[in-house]
Parts: sequence; structure tokens; C-alpha cells
Amino acid sequence: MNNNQQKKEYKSDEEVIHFITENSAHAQPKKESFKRLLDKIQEDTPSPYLATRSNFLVFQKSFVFAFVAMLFFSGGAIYLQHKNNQPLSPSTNTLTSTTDVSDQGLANDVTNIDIQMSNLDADNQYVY
Amino acid sequence: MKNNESKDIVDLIKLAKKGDGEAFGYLYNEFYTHVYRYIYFRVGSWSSETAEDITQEVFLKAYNSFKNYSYSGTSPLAYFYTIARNILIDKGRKKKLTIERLDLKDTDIEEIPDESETRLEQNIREEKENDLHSTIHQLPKDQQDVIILKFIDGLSNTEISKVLQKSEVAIRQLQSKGLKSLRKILNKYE
Repeated sequence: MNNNQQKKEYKSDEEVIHFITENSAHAQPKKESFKRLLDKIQEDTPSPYLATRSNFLVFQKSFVFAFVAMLFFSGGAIYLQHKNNQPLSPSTNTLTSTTDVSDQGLANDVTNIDIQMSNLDADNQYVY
Repeated sequence: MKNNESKDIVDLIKLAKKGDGEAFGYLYNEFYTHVYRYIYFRVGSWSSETAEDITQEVFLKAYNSFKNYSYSGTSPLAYFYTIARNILIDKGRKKKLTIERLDLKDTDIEEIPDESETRLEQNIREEKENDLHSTIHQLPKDQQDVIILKFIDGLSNTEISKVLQKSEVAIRQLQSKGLKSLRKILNKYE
């Protein structure tokens, strides 16, 4: 506070308002011309062509990425299918027919055992 | 409009809403100082350069979004103040604004010199302005807003209530409290 104001006592709102208006009246900006401001606007705003091109490049990159990803997974699936030599889908009857074959094989083995047991003598010695 | 008083503000607003740079330029010239003074007294003392930067930011934002502005019969000043206030709140959240004065060296800037003012008078004026800054800054933010908009920028209570999105009764209360607090602060220096 300067000396003049230190001596003053503010008794009413009107005196405070006068203090505000008096001391704020000289606050003036160093104003930039509007033309320069417009130039700034144009610098800050990308042209419609650039914006469209940018969007296109983003789309292009996404498309290429998706295509490469699709090729990779398809190739991987085909490779695995060939490697295992069986379709990846569980919808075929492969398992069922395998089980049938095994059962038949087991039955044959049991038959063979019976035949072999019939060749044993009373001392359980094999008779050729 | 000092240079184009014949132009009706409604026509200017309509043109500016369509993106007419020249029309917006008239609004800029008309309201720049008002917006600047609000920002200047809100950001702290000795920060004229910061206030100028923020004022330009306000007008850039306003220009880019002016098509969304709806004219309701009142001055677009409330619209500019609202943008200014939002920017100040946003900047306040990010970091506390530094209070320092820098000498401008940009030759492209229009100066408004007061040639009748001597060096001594200028010093006294700056000192008084600084006193005002420091007293206003001791108030709560909402009281600062009301005091600056009412007594420095000369807005009506209706306009202030639109800017601050408070009722006119609340504005009157804030104004009364603000003046009372300012009186106490000023008398404390006795």
C-alpha cells in the first residue's frame, strides 16, 4: 500500500468501489491485431485435405494389420491341421470308429487266449 | 464498434457464426479489453503477458466454437467470459499460475501508450494497480469473479449470473460479502 492509501480509511462500500474502479481503469492490454490471431487460427487448424488424408492413412494401416493378422491365423490353422493329420473339428466319427476297432482287437485277443489255454495239459504244460 | 458503428451487433454475430473472420474481428476489437481485464485481475498481479496469452486463447476457442453460440438478446461478452473462466479453472487445476511480469519484446504488438503520463505517474499507477491486485486476491474465487465482473468490467447482475451460473440473489450476496471483505483488508493496512 502506498502512503496515500495507508492514511485513508474505507468506511463504506462506495469508497471501496471507488478504489476498485479508480485503480483498474488503466489496465490496458497490449493487443495483438486480429489478423495475426487469424493467422494463428490457420496455423492451428489442419486443412480438410490433410485431415481426410490422415483419416485415410489410419484406415489403411488398420486394414493392412487386420489382413496380415487374418493370414497369420489362417496359415497357423492350416499348418496345425496338416501336422496332426486330422481335422481340427471334432464333428467327424474318427474317435468312434477307433474305439470299435480296439474293441474288436480285444475280442480277438481273448479268443486267442482261449485257444491257447485249450492246449494245456493236466500239469498246465503247453502241448504243441 | 469504434470503426464500424453502423454495423449491427446481431448481424455481426450472425456472420461470425458462419465463420466470417472479419465479423468476428469486430467482436474481438469490441470485447478484447473487457476479457483481458477480467483475466488480468484473476491471474494475479504483474502478469500482463500471461493475461494477454490467455485472452488470445479465449478468442481462438470462441472463434472455433462460435457456431454453437446462440444469441439470446444479450451481449456475447457473457459467452467470452464463460470461456475465459473455464480456461482459468482448467489452468488452475493444472498448475498455479506464476506471478511475474515480463517485458514484451514482440514488435508486432499494438501498444496503447499514454503519452501524457510521466514516469512518476506511471509508477504510482502501477503501485496502485498492484495494491488492487493483492487485495482482490485475498478474496475467495467466487467473490473475486463477482467483484471483477461487476466493478471492473461493468457487467449487470443478470449478466454475471449467466456467466457464473448462479442466481441473481447469490450474486448480490457474493458482491456484498466481497465488498465487506475488501474493506476489512484495505483498512488492515492502516
